[in-house]
Amino acid sequence: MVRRRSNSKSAAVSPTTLGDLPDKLLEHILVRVASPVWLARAAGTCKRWRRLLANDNFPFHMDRRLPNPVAGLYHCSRRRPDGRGRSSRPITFVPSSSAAALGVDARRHFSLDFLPGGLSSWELVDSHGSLLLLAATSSTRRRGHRRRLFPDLVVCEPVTRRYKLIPRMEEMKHQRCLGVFLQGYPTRTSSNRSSIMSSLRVICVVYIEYSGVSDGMGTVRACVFDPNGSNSWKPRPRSACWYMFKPTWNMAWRGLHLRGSEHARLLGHVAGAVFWAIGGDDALLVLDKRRTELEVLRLPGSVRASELRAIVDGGNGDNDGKLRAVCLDEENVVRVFATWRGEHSNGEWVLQKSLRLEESTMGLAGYKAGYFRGGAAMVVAAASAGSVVLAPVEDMTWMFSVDLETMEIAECEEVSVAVYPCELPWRPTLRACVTRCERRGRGRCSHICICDDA
Amino acid sequence: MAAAAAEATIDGGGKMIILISADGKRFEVTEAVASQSQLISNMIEDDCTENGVRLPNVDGDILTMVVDYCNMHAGDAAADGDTTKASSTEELKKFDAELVQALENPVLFKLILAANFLNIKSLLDMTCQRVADMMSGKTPEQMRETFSIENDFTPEEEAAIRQENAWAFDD
Repeated sequence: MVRRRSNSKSAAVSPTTLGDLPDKLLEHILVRVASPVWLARAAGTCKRWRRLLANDNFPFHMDRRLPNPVAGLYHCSRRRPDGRGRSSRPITFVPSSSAAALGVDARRHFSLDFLPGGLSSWELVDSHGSLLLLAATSSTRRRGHRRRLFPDLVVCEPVTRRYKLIPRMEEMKHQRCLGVFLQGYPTRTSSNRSSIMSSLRVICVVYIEYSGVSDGMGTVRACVFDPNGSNSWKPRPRSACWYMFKPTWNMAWRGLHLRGSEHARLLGHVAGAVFWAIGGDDALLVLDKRRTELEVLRLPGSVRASELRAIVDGGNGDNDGKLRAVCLDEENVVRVFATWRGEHSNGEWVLQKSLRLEESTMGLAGYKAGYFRGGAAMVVAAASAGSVVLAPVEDMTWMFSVDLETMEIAECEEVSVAVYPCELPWRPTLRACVTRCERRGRGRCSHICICDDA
Repeated sequence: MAAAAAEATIDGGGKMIILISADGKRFEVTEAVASQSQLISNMIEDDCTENGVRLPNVDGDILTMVVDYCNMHAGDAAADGDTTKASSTEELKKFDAELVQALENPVLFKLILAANFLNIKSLLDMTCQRVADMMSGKTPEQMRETFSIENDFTPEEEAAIRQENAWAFDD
């Protein structure tokens, strides 16, 4: 296809160009391109570059650490709500400064208007890389009491406006769902043809009630949707790709019994793990996303599960496993503990800061002593790496934030209930004009042929 | 022919070897400097550098650059504990940056080919990075211009390509 330089004499005639480099070296160059935007453009430069980038074996960014190409954050925001209603949770996209600098029109390319049934039928629940996971907003949700059943799901990639519906697991459809999460797969197993959408798994943690036992006793299990399990996303019998993850030996031996799904309260999603407080037992339920393992951790004596409000990233956002746990006790004292979570172990809990809310918030406009009457009167409206936003149970419109580093208190007008980062895809969609097919849809003619789907 | 010179030693520098470029230019370097090239390092191990190493793929002016580069970097591979080297890390970076920054495209590509042929990983990485950086902020049209690439897509194909990754093509 491209003439390779075989000896120095030909180079002496005409100046050496990029076309004189063998494929291996051109790959060596392309893999160093600093942004997915330039890479996607490089794939539109000429057929040779496109062929190299469309190759299943192109290593993309795998061997290097690059600055995170975060395009921006999806905020599930809530303006000062009226009363306790939580009906509308609009999703807004806030582009990062780096995306703007790259010239990506984030407002245009990160809208979610392409989702089936419109955005209002979906609720954002997780993100990973350039993908989002959304759950169908269920009509069975009771007011003020989110007892959600196993939902229908959709995975989408906003920039390329692609989505894949994931029907719920049929045999689990009556079980309560504690949370749904995206788990990235090592991308080496994925190929360009099958697209990034199949390089991940969805984990749904369900609460399964024991039959024939009173008090609604039950246990939790992880269900996994693995698109590679069936090798394609083509229509198959429903739930063919969902399977129940086998509990670890340790977990099976010790057993995990809960008194109803309400007993597990979601605390946070950090460092590759998801944390729930288990009321009554003074324990934490932890889902290790990478290993798909559920485990139960005892809390230190000084902390009660009912006091735990949030677990957030305690580092500088570099996922080094440092955690911060925020507790609120009966006296309305906020305590911040530092701890960490490693590959196979968990750190001690060390008390870092504490703050009496009643005295500290006196200076804020709208303060009422009545807010602090009776027990732990504050709820967490939002939590992020550096701060938590609290509001009185009695009046959710009076919100204030507590900086977890300095324990400074500030008034808060509007909070994002949850924030989900979204990245630009390193692997651009390369389906058009990759190679000319000789068979016209009768099977693939080469490993980069794309026309067997036609 | 230059066997005597190749056998010569300088104090503390080890054996000298001679590199001969495609156009016959000769470069005398120490073994320590030359063995940053995996190719030459293997030849030294195999003891076949006595009559000078002929490099038919590398022109004299390119080899000058490679030898300069290797001379500058001879220290960091050999002596890590050397304290005098620590201060020169900055200097080394500056030297590297200036080396690739100033190059014209054809020379840069020749340097990449030479680094690949001689198997000098750090030089290859650096020069490839330079080319990759040149793609930053460019449209496909500008990339073609920069690297003298012929557009072999039809207008329809190009439209389909832009459509597919529209997010990357906001100009």
